Amino acid sequence: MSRKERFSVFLGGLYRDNPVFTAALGICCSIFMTYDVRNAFLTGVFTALTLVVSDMVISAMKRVIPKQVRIPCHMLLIFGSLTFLQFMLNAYFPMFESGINKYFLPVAVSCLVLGRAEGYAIKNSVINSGVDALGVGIGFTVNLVLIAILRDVLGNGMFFGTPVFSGNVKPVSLFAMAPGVLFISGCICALVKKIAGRKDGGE
Amino acid sequence: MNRKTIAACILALGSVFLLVFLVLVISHMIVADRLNEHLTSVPQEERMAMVPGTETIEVPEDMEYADGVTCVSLLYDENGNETGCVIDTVSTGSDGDVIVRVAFDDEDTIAALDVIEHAGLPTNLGYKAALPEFTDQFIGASSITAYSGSVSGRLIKFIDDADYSCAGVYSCVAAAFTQLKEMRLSENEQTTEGGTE
Repeated sequence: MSRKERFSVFLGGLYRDNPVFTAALGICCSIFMTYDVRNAFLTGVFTALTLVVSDMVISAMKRVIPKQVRIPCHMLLIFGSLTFLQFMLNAYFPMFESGINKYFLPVAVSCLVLGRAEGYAIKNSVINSGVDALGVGIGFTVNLVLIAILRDVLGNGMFFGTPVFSGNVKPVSLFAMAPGVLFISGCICALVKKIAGRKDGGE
Repeated sequence: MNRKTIAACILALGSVFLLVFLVLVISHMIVADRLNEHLTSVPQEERMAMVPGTETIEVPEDMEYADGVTCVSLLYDENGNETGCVIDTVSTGSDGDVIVRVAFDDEDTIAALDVIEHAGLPTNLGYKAALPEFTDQFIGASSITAYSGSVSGRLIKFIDDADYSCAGVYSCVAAAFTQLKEMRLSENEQTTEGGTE
């Protein structure tokens, strides 16, 4: 596969085929971890790391796992990758005061990782799975950070600690709550679909 | 499914389980020392800044911790005189653990209090327990009366909608006071034993 084709796989994972935008996967992470931009960014980064490792492992083992027990095996492999990453990051990056486990918790319950393993990794080569997972992970991180920023601006009236509104204009607290996240997430999905449609020459 | 397929499925599941288990055990063995080191390590600057005049910090290794206490650091000035101590505590708040760091000065009154971690989301519950309007009520307190919810005779006002997390912070402060009391008792016992000898 040429470099250009691989870049196309990456771009596909980034927005065109990203399950966050096409199937609204990972919405629970969006609701629970976007109350703060830092939390959103770190959750996105750790999800991306887990996606890359688990998708590559699953892709490498796709021929030895019978299809009847595919899902339990994939769940085991994702759990293994997640715990392995947690050990390594806790041991070698001790910059987080209270550990990094709280950023991994939403990854563990996220349907995004299993969804991408089932949707892409079992049908493609190890390297392509890794490239696609990296694209999906980056797309997911950008999505989470965007939601967190919009939630803070529209819901709390703050942009990185600086008040945005003045006078009679007040923030709408609904945006800081779960329904607001769904609304913002929906708007981002629509925007991404519009951009992806234009690039493909569609509507 | 025939027998051969069932056997293949069981074998695949077992192999994957064994593989994951082995990888995790081996990786844990490799990083165990570093993990323990990180868990017991102390971000010294942050703790030292909580009590003014502190130059050095020490974490006694043989100290027994009271319930809810995770770490105790002793603070000293440039002459080696004790300026106070910092006690890290954990309790349960809204949606998860509340981690609170309590700094006592040399007169055993609370000099500073930081809510390090809480699981309360903004706009609904627990985050309000970390706001200064709640935590500042503890500053200057030298005793706690758990059953009446007061410190140094002053009643602590819990924040509306964040009662559970406020109770968690209060429990943390109570645990810190218990630890401090045990430390002073143990020091007195050592002094008495030294005097008797």
